[in-house]
Amino acid sequence: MSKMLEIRNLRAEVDNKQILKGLNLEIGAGEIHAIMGPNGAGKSTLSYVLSGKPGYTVTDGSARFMGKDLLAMEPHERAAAGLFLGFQYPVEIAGVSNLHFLRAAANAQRKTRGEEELSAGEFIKIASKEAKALGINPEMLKRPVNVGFSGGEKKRNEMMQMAVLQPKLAILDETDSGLDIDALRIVSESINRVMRRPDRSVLLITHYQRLLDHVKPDFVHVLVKGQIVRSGGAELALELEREGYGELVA
Amino acid sequence: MTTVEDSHKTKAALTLPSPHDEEWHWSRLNALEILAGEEHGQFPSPNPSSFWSGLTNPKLLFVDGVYQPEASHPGPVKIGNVSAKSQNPLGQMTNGERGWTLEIEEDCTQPIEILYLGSGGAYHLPSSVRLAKNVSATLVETYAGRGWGNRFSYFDLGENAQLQRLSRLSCESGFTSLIEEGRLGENAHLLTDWIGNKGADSRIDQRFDLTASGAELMSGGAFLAREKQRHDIMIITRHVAEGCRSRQKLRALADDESTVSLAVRTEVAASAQKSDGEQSLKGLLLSRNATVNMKPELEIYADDVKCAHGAAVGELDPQALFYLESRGIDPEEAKDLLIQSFVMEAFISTPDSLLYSTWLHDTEHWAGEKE
Repeated sequence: MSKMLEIRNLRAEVDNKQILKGLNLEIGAGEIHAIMGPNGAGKSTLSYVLSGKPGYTVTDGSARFMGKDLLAMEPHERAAAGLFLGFQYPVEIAGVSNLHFLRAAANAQRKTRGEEELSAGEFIKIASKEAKALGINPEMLKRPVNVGFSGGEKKRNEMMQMAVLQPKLAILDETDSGLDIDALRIVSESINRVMRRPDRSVLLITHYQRLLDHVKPDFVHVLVKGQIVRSGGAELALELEREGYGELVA
Repeated sequence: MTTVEDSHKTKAALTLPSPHDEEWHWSRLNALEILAGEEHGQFPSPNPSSFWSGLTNPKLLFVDGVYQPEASHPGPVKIGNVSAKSQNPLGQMTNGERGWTLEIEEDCTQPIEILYLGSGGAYHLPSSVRLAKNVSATLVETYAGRGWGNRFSYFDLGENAQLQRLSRLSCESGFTSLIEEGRLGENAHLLTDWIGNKGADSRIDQRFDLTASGAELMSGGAFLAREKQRHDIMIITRHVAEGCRSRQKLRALADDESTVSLAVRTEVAASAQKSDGEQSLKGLLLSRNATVNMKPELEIYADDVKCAHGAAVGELDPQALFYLESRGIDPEEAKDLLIQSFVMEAFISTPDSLLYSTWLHDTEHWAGEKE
């Protein structure tokens, strides 16, 4: 199986504080990996470092995405290469409609890849289809990005973006937080429908087993103090749910 | 038509206010003496067609303050003397000058477009709009070219009348001054959107007394400045009658070493119970050398009112920028989208209208002109 993401000895800091302390991780194409861990372990930092958020400084190590040096790319180039970050707290952007934003994003990625841009008509068809699949009211597409959305609507909107952008690797940072039971099922179905393919991969960051009931991970990793301290199959998440992090954080 | 000599004379007689007189951050108006002393025709006049909509509707063209009948389709607009007079020092300079009047008794379904082109020098031009009871109309005024355009607009809206208007401050250089006053009848609505997107400095003085119950004055504006440009906006609204409503949503976007000053004062008299007022002023600094001054003021003497004011100045939100970039949008486009998002908040008239599409175009045009 070809490698989607290879992280070697990754060290990163924020405000001169070392958060990631030699993290190693390999994700193959077609695999779903889950990362769990206590608060402050560095899970969100990992997602931001991989997506290139300013303020997160890599001090050592490497990350290769589909064979390319991920850390050498700008954030928009990483997205165009196929990386998608599902935000834990999606940002509100007043004055820009969801549809306008999504089309700008889709066409920016296509342009960077040297592909032809989508016309408004073509794009509306795609967006409407994905909105329907996620149970999103088409009117929501006309509303400003995430403004006035409930927590669940924001997360569904993230999934909508993922579905439209069709990434190769989705890093989903606590996508299950703030979701009610029905919304969790809909979001999970979307992850499975869009990403459960031989040429796509997912890195799920979560605190709870409940998401993993719907999206079955191939691998589960425990991140503690900036390092992966244990890895296993789906059964590891069940064990953590039952017994907590215990000695792993000691 | 005012000659250059007349302009000098009038100005000297009026003595424009200085920053000292006004006790705030307003620009010095003495630079206007230089503009007033310049000849017309120093610069080629821009091509009007680039400012018109594609609609078949009333269109009027003024060049250096002079009406151009051969290039206009005035519809219900009349050219001539304007009886309304202003007490404002700048407004007074238009008193007695030829201008235009719009008096309509029935709904005007097509927007009326008026284009003022300047080729250098100064012009002083008054206008008056009177809408009869229950009548609605839409007005788009565009200021383009160069020089000093000094405009006084008087509005007289009858009961339940509604006027939506857009003022585009699109001069390449020079100064545009807009003095806006008038009377709103019972439940009349005046909605104004200003957009300043080019290189000229500007000053807007809007002053209304809401003396008929239920009158509504909504004013939105986006002022985009770069280099050493200055925009000064002062709005004074006095709620006198019961149940009136006023909104001021102003957005200042300052780049390079530019300065935008926004001052909004809402006074609610003791007689103006059930007043509803809201001031929303926001500034976005795109450079550490740019300045945005804001002064929201509420002076309330009635006890049953709903009034709010807010002012905030900041830089582009780095979280929002990263969010857009993480979706594949390059940094420059992401910045433009956020600027557009900031500016669009100020639009106050009906969306899906000529006003909206023009506003959007002007915003994009500003973004597109950046290096």
